[in-house]
Amino acid sequence: MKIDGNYFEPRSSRSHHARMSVRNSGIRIEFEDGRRTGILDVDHIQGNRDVNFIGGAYFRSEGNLPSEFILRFQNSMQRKISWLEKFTFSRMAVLLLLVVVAVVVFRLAFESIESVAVHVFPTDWEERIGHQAYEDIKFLAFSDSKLPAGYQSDIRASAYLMIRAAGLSRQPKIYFHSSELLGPNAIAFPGGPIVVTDELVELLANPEEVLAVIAHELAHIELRHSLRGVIDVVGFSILVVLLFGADESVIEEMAAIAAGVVTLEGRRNYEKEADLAAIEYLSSIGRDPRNMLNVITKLSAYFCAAAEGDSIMDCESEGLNWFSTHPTDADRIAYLEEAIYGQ
Amino acid sequence: MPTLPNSTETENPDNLEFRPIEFTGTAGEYWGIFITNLLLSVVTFGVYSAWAKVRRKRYFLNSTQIDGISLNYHATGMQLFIGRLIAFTIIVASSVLTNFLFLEAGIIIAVLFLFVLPWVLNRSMKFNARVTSWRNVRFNWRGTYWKSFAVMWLATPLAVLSFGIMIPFISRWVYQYYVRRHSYGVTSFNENAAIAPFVKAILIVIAIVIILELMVYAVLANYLFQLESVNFEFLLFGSSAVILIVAYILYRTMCRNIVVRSLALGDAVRFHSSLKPYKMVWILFTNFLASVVSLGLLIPWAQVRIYRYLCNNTSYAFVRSADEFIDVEQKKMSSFGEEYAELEGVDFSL
Repeated sequence: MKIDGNYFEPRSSRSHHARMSVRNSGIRIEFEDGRRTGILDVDHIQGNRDVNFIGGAYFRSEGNLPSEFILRFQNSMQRKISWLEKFTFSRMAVLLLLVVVAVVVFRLAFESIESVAVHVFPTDWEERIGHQAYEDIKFLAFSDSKLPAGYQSDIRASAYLMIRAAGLSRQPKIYFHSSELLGPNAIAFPGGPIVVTDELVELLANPEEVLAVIAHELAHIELRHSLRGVIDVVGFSILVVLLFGADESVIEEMAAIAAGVVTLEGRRNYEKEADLAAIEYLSSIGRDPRNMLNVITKLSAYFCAAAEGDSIMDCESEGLNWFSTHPTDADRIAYLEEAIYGQ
Repeated sequence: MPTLPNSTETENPDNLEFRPIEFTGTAGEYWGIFITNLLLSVVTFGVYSAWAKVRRKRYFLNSTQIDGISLNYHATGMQLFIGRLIAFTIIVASSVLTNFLFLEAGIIIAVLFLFVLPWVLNRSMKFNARVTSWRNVRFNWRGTYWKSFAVMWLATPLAVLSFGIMIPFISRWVYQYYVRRHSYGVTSFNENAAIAPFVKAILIVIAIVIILELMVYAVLANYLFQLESVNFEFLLFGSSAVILIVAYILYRTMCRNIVVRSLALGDAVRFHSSLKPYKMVWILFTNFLASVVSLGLLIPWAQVRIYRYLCNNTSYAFVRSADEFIDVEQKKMSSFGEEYAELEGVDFSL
């Protein structure tokens, strides 16, 4: 096989018109004046015309290199990849389908990895993280509660009764704090503690409903939702970078958005799980599970009123922690009603 | 070496024959590579993505011809993979330290990153230059630590603090740094654009922003304000964001034209750029729309489209023979800097 083109000396742009001939042992270059090189070893081929040799020499063929020449210097993996890359509509349809299947399988695999990770992650580490996060946020957003000490201890006592009755494995601390920044809100830190704001207590104006909120937050801790959320976000971010590092720019942005949507969807499932677990906990000490419904209705009314005028956004999906990652109130009321009245 | 022209207009005093950079790739061909890259990256849990990047870079560079000869890309998948692994480990480790152990670690790590990233930027620029060749000669980058530090951390705050007055000066300085520290073999690139065209560019962009904002405000105030179902602030904020993106594209395109028109490679090659700023806005916006509407299937088409436009509107002219450049060194580069910069999304391309 003889191929005409230009030969470039190692690491130089000086070129000579030459003919490349393929031998069993390698490649030899013959120049117009009759001189020729020794046997050269191919390092790699780029595109359809460029041959790079070990040692830094380079040959640019006049036309496209014959496919048998290219095949000769590809290993079997490279040949398979080249075959995949050739565009035909049917092949592309199959590849696209395979991508979708692979992504689905991958997601399923990831979910099982996540549940194993949640299982083996030490609880005391989780509690340490939760405590540290609580201290940080306390410094930034919480001030001392103005609720009477008696009121606080009554609620705590009921909550601990509920923990025992429902057979929960964790007994997190329950704090009350005033917070202008967070407003009516309740937060479960990983492994505890639980914080309920004075503003939420004032809004609900009913200790039974405050207990319902605590039941919901207890469920988050019992089911390790914060940890699962962290693993979701970290895991997905890592995999998005790995998966879509193949193509920077646009696709990375899109993949990041998709990952965000996927993890938010996960969090909405956690809220549903926590709502449903909360009504079980409440029932376990004979408290009325409908208090959970009342909480949702009151918070919904509060945030919708606060969002008045923002007609372009759905007020039901707006708000601080409580709402932003939660299912819509209509959904929550629907599944809670089904769980309470459907029993 | 002849004196470079200060002017950035389209004049051609030496009657040089400018020829456009040729791009021979097609969306169809690239689609095959794109989907194969995606599939193999997914099934190998991301490991293949480093090799996929090599495949993509080679496709674009091999399809880019200057004087009938393609650019070559010499990085290997393994080099990129090792770089990614190191960068990834450092990011995860520092993220774990910050989030799970103690808050103070975050401050220490942030300060460390502040000083390490300019070094990483230099490594990344050097790696990228050194793995790219044309006519068997590699490109090179010789940035200095403190100048890269200034480009990274001082340029943007200075532009903001000066209320935009310094933007033309900063742009000129950054582009000059970028261009003059690049070389082809041992021959340096040079660029000597005057400040006036940069000032003109920013004034044009500011005027366009003001006109567009006034138009949006007039429309909102006159027609939409009465409608209850329209969120006035949201629309005003959204349209301002779009206008700023448009302004950014316009300014970047004008700067690219200014810089490339005064760009030279030693005394051997001169360059020209004839991008139309409004056309760039059109192409980028329609590319974005097509990519979103097609759920990503048209991303290869969009990438080929913008790349081809950039190539076709960048031209070169040889002042003397291209045969005499000799490469400078043969050291094998580490890919660490390059991959870290990529993860951080640092993009300093012209």
